[in-house]
Amino acid sequence: MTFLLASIYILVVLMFQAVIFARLNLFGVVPDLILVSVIIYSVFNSQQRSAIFSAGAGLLQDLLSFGVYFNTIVKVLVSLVVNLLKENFMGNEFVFSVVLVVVFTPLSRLFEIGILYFFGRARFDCYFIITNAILATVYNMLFVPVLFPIVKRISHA
Amino acid sequence: MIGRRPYRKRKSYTLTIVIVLLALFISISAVRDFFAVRPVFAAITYPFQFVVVSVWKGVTGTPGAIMDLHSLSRRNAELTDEVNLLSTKMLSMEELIKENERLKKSLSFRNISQYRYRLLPAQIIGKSPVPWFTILISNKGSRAGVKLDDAVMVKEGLVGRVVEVSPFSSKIMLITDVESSVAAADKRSRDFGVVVGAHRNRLVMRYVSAGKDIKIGDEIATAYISTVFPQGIPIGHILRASKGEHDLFYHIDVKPAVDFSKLEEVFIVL
Repeated sequence: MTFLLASIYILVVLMFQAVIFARLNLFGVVPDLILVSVIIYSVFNSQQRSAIFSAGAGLLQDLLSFGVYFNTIVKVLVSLVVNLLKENFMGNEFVFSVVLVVVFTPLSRLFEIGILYFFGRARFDCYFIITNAILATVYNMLFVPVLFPIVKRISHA
Repeated sequence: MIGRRPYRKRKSYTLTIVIVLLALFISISAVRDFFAVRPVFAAITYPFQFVVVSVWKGVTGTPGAIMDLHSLSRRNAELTDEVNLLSTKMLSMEELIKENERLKKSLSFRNISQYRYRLLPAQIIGKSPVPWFTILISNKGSRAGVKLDDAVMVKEGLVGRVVEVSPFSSKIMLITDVESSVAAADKRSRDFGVVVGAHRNRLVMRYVSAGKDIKIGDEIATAYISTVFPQGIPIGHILRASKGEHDLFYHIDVKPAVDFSKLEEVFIVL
């Protein structure tokens, strides 16, 4: 049941991201709802479950994409680190999720830029990297209150 | 007495390690195109995308449509006049095309059919969910006759090319994508170069020799040497052109003719 709910959730979030938020971009920057979902899911679930969730979500994101396919590895690594961090965390899960989104959004963007640079696929100037990371972080943060209760419910289903 | 350690279930990392390795393999290996899964997934997601985009357009378009209702009849009359005028012009144009072809034939030109292409209207139903690549998803696929590398345009100019086709949808790489390159020419001086994508909807024209005649404001269009794009489709105009004393080529910034942020309908050149 949880697997089915999680699959439907990922598909719906992907559709929203590809169709609606492609139009509602913030100065050309679109939110990464999958990353936010992976972080929240990892807060509530075991390492294995969140690794499966993040791999599935990243893989579907890669299937919809074109170019360099690194969403799967980025999402899996994020879920791994979140699981390691949460072992030493005591407190409000919502606040923890917000903090993680603030930390991991720019980090994942930098990681992706690094991969693109490494493969010689793209060169970005500092201004672009910084503005993109800031806008993406703000945009992702806005979605934590929306996605948090949904992902929590899926985790506890 | 031998002390017994309390039993504690050890955490298993095997599955996690397997998943990480698989993810790494997918990212860097040759299975990047996921065998034939991508078109299948595109076909599965197409109905969802179509429903979401239809609902979205209905929700966002209704208030505007109601507000514009009073100006619709006036606009309708204007458009009817315009259609009549253009239909008349088309008749004379057809005659000119035929005459042009006849004359070219008599001069043994080999590229008579160059301008004869069919335009397939398509709707943009989505965008690639990755920030670094500017890929649009259209609602026309192989069933409508769309093929890989088909050019995509709007009335303002060139949009991009088809990079992936599934039965009901296709992915279009914009010319502003960092992976895109288009053989182009200056419409005034006929100097050739290659227009490549840059970030933030910018274009850069490369490999135009420093000795060539380049001016700011010159129109850039697709060149006849292109094997993908038909000749003469506007790409943009020159915004900046600079060269150092010892540079072999110009550095040219091109402003795209198309506003890519507002694309809703495009034409696929078949």
